[in-house]
Amino acid sequence: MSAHAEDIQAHVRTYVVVFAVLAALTVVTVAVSYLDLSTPMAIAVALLVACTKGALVALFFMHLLDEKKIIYALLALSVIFFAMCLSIPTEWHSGLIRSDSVWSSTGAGAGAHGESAHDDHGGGH
Amino acid sequence: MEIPHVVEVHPETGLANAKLGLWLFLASEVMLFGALFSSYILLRVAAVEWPAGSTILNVPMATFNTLVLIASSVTVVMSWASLKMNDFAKYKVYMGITIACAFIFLIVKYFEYTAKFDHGLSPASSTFLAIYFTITGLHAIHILGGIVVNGYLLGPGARMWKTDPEQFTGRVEAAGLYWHFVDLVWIFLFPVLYLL
Repeated sequence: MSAHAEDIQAHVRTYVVVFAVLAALTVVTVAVSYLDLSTPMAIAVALLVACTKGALVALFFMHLLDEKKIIYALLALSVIFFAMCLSIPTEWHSGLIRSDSVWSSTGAGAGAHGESAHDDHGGGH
Repeated sequence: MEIPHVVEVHPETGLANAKLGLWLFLASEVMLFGALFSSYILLRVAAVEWPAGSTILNVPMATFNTLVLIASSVTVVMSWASLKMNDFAKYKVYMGITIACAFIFLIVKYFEYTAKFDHGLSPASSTFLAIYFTITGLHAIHILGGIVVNGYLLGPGARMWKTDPEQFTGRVEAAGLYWHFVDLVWIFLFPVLYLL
């Protein structure tokens, strides 16, 4: 273990620098929120700062700069499923998967869906 | 029976079991919080009106808490680095600071919550407050979990340093990875709930 003591010393110096950057970015993101930016611009800046901070934590504190292949593969899967998860509301909003029948109790579509589901169920028996 | 690959790496993965297991757990945590972030977006885009977080929540308190969590992320990684450098005394100091930061975070959160309740604001008050209390509540439970694990590693669990220092260092590393994740979630929660 002590053979790596000098490497670790170098790591420690990095941790302190990363901490300073993270603290500075926190102040930046709060300061920017007091500017009167338009909502899309504010979201873009806030997410950019948050992603930068998140990347710093993951790369340096969680040592993802130098990790085994299987961890990267595992995280790649996570990223894909996370992106799918977040794309659901976005696609709903853009109308891609929106179905009014889901959201309105009086919609004729809801009744039709309910009936077809019932038929399927009955057919199975 | 000896459990294999507790300290020595598994030839297939190149990792000790605990580390791979912890990353798998974090992958499931990504989906847990991912589902809630997804719900947040859906609720927000579907809402007729959505309040700016800063008009309801206390931004200075949350900014302070963000800095506290970032500091604790540094101290937990320093506690691991201290063990790597065979400095057990420093490990205890850094781990102690990490746990103290976790308590400070929860105390500040307690004051934030009670201030809301005192003004008659609860999860039932609005969609915004419902998702706010749900996500920050789940996050606070994660902080509590971190306190339990890190407290164990500082207290009774620290005896392992004398019997099996390598395995103990591995445990501290795994607990540290979890703690960084909790910090990471807050890094996204803070702007999303308080600033946007």
